[in-house]
Amino acid sequence: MALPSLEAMSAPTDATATRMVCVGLNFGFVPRLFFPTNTGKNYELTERLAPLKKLRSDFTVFSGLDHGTEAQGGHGGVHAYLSGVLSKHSKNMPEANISVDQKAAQLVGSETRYPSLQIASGNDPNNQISWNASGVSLPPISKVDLLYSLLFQKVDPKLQKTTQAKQAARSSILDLVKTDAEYLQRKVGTQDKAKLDRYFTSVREVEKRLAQSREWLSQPKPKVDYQIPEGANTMDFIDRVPLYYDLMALALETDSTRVITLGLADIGANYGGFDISRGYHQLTHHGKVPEYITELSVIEQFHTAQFARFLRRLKSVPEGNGKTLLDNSMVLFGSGMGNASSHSNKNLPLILAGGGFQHGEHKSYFKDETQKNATPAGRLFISMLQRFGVETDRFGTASGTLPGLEVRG
Amino acid sequence: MNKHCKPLPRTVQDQQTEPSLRQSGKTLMHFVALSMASVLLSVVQCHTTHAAPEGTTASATGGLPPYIQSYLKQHCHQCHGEKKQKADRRLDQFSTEQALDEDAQDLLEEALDAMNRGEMPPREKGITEPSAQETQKVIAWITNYLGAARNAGKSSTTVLRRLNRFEYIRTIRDLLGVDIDSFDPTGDFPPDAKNHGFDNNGETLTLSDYQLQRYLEVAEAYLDQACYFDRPTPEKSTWSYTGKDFNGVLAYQRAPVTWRLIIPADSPADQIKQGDYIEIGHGQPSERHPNFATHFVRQGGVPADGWYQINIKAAAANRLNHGYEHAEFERYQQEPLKLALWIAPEARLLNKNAADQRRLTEVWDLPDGKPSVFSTKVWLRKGAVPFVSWANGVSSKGNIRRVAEKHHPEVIRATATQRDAAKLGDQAAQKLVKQLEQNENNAVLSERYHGPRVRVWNMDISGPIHEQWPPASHRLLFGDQIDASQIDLDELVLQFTTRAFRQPVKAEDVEHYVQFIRDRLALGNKPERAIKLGLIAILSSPRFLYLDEGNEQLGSALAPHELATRLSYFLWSSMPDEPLTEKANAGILNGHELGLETQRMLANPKAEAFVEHFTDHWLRIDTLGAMPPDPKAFESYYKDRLEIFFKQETRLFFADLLKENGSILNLLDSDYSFLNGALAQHYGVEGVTGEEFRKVRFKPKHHRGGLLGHGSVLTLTANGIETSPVVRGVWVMENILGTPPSPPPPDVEPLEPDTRGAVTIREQLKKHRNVAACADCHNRIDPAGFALEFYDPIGGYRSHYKSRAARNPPVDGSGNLVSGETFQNEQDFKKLLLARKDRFTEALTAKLLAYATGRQLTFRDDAEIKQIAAACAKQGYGLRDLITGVVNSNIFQQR
Repeated sequence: MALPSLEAMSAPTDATATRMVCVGLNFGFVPRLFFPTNTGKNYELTERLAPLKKLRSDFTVFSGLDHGTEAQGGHGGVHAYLSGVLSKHSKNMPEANISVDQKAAQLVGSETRYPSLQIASGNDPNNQISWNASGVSLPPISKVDLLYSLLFQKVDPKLQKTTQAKQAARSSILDLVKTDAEYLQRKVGTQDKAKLDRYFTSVREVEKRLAQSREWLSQPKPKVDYQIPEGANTMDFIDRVPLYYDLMALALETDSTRVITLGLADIGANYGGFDISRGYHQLTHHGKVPEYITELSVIEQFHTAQFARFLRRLKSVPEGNGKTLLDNSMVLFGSGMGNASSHSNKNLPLILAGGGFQHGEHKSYFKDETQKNATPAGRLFISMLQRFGVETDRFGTASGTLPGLEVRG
Repeated sequence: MNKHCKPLPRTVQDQQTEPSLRQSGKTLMHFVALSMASVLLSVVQCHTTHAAPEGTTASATGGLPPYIQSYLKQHCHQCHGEKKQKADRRLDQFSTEQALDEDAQDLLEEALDAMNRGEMPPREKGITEPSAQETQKVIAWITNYLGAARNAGKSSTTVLRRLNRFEYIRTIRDLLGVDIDSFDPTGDFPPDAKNHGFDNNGETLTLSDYQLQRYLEVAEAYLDQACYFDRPTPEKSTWSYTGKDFNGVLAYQRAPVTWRLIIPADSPADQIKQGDYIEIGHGQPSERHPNFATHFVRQGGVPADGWYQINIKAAAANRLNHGYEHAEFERYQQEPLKLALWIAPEARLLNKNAADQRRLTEVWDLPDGKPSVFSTKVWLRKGAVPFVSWANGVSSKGNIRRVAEKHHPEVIRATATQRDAAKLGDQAAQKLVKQLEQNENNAVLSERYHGPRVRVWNMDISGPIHEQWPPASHRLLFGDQIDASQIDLDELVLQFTTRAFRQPVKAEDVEHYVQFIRDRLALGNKPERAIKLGLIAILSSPRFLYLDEGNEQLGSALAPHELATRLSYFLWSSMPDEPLTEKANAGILNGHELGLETQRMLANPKAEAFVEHFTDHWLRIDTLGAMPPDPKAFESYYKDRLEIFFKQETRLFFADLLKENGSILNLLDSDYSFLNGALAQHYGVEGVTGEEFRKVRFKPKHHRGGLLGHGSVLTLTANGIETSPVVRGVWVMENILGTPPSPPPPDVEPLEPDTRGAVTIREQLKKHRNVAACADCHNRIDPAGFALEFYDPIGGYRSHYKSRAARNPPVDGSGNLVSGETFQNEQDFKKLLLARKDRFTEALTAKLLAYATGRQLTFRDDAEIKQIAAACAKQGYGLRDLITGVVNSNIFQQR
């Protein structure tokens, strides 16, 4: 594990660090209100993209990208958003259905207090978007106050000491139980051994994690001038989402982590605080009834508006060399759902912002004019990973970068 | 036209993700499939694996012999050959020379299953019908061939299985003797992966580093609950509270609509002060506003862990004689008012937004007028606070406000929202607020309002009550020794690991734990801490976390302790108890003794775990609530707590069959179920009131009976908004008939519904079914769903749809199976299901075995499943007999 130097700790912002943020919605967007009709630099912003108007040169909107026929499954296909691989198909893949964020975290996770952060507005099993190399979905944090305290709350020195002692004891326990695993290994059959291997892997991972968190425990957390409002955890969706974005921006700014995913799932009680009269899921099955689409648009428009706010925030933070936090952060926004109304996982709505790419266009990757044959979205992830510093030209079932998506000169 | 057709071999993914097996019923697939109908038509009986007719001996080394090929050519290739590939399958590419690879074997198995069920070759015009004899011969050969091929290849045995969360919790309960209802630190365990609904499949269950870390932490939390080293016997105390001791406000202080009403304001002043009871005038099933004794909160809740006796004196007032029109209070015509007792695990969780972290422990039906005392004994953790609410109360913003506006307009004040709107310049709001200002000096609502309410006179809390000290959990581990430094470490570790690892343990195999504790002592840990760390380590060992079922390469029969463990996790989802372990020790856990143990264990309350977990996962009842019903359209789902009652109905129904050895055919259709007041009202059954469940006989007009009448099943097969015959059809095929259809081919273009013109779901579906590619499967899937269209998304009966359009179209519950049988409604349809009772018995047997063994069943298990099912049928279809059959089977007793 590469421990950061003390210097880096006291001046937490590493000006050259690249970050990755992926935002995933569980129901996607009404396609015709999202995808521009014309491509290239002079494309016309759709109703849904209107909130991003002033950021036009900071993002690219894609059409004709998806995860192909093997990653279909309606609501059950959404979890493949960042991996391109359904969990049930992942068994024999070398890194299972690892998601692009975790692939990135493999490279830089040991540099920061948290290898990565997974955040979600609620606990929707369909919208689990971060998966590790063992094919296990990473549980997200939903409580705003927990997120805040993980990032910024000062640890009581007394508590710090007992926590450290506890973690040391746990490490020694892990050492001990290996004896039993070895005992079983001698005894059980071949198929069982694979299960025990998973046990050993988990032991090693926990050891690593305990070590990393013990090291960071003695390092003070960054100070920020930001308070979360009282009762933030139970606020309506509409009030809570901006807080997640704020904390994400701060986490990046303070280099507490370099990889974040945000899952925005069902809007919860009270219709999320939106001025609508039906549930989100119900609205996505609008059957083309205009009044349903109008209400659905209230939620969808909120999503792009919040995303725009987040980008503006990142753009306002200078990070040296004339670059901003947005220049150093590639931010993916979209969904594993192409069209919720028909439960289609094709032609995913995807936007990539920042990260030093050449932006400002609507790029279509349909292979022909019928708009039926899409390009693997995994190729976009490969482009992102390479830019991030991961040397790979394969990801999931895709290979090669996305042609035409260039790094800014 | 079939553009999805893939020639042999099919893709690797297909094969990986949908392993072919009987139990999951992959067997049906597009090939034949979906036809429950044809089960009846089965011309060929299929006890084929026993004695293969002459000339059918197969070896797994070659391909298909000519007579098989010619049979396929004559009767199958027409639809599954070069020109046409119905349902994506072609059967003209099997080798005659080479042994078939796995993909080809799977395909052949699908064909076999279709033939076994008599679905293929279909009796259709233009298809040559083979003689029964011919078909039988082919079936026998293929059966033999596949059996040999599979035997030669991979074995199908249970893979080392990790305890799932459900089993982990119950094992901890029995191992440490802790109360698991009041304390569940496993809430953030990652969900256990499921395999065809079951979450105890060894192959599917994974372990992540995150999960392992939680095991370490949770073991510590449980041990802190269990150990009572060096603690004095706690004093028992009693706290008595009356109305005035409760939180909330007195009526005259409160305006304009109060969620809680206290002491009528026209009472004499001294009575207000004395406050002999509180009045709760409003309530929700999930209560945001707790009613608690403020003093008890200030003292920090209960002072120590333990059992507490709680007595509450309460009654209902004004249930019927409130003088208002009944529209707002209609539910109380039939139902009593109900008092709920809740536990807030910590005082801070009394906060109005923390409702989901509080625990509902009791709901009592209240008598009208004269109060009764209600008592319960609950385990409370230190700091917990009990509180009460009106479980089926009216809402203050809805019902009470409407009553007030009509009957007491003089007390109406502007709401905060109206004031805000006025401030923001809304003219209508300004006018309203100004007008309502005139009421400012009038009486407040609670002085005038005389609607139904709950009265609570007393709440007494006493405890902690410990029958013995140190408590049972401590004794289970350490006997009566409360001085940690005096514990014999060798003895402790040997005893504890023997129980935790569920088998006899040699001292030398666990001495590293003893050494570890000694090392921790040497490092300066206090004895209690060192011992706990040792026990945490044992609870994190793979020998505890995984069920050790031996080594299949060394012999497939389970050793006595392995069998005891399998039995105990089957029926209890937990570790074997002492009597069972003793029989395993004595080596007599077989034959008659095994039967006795099975009966003993089923009679034990721990067998509730089987009822709960098996029905949850067989019927997917655990998914109830995943697509929550629309709160506006289906208010009663929340108001009447239907979700929890739905689950209870199904569990009670199943538990009753288990207890009485009742016929499993009752699951297909019955003239009874178990209902309480809320469910009876939901189902339209008269004369059942109150919280208690009881057995209720249905009349035909109730349109209930069998699982297909249960609210649980009908709700989980809808999406909370509307019903889908497709989802319900698939559910019936998978769970009742054990023959799930395969998912749609991957490259079928989903259709975006345009429902503007369509009024009923049938009309909407017709739009799908008009597409030829979909029709083939949906003709088989949808009929069951059509029959169930009489039930709305939360299982209420409906004869007409509620439509946004002006007319309310009648429900059409008719349909026809591909066999040609027709039905008019759900009653007819259930008769068709009953005609397939043997198919159902086999399906249920397979589900029980998959659950009991923690693995997917395969083709090789087929013959025995049929035997078990047939034996059960012969004995009269008793559920208990079926369980016994399962336990006595080779499948169950082998790895």
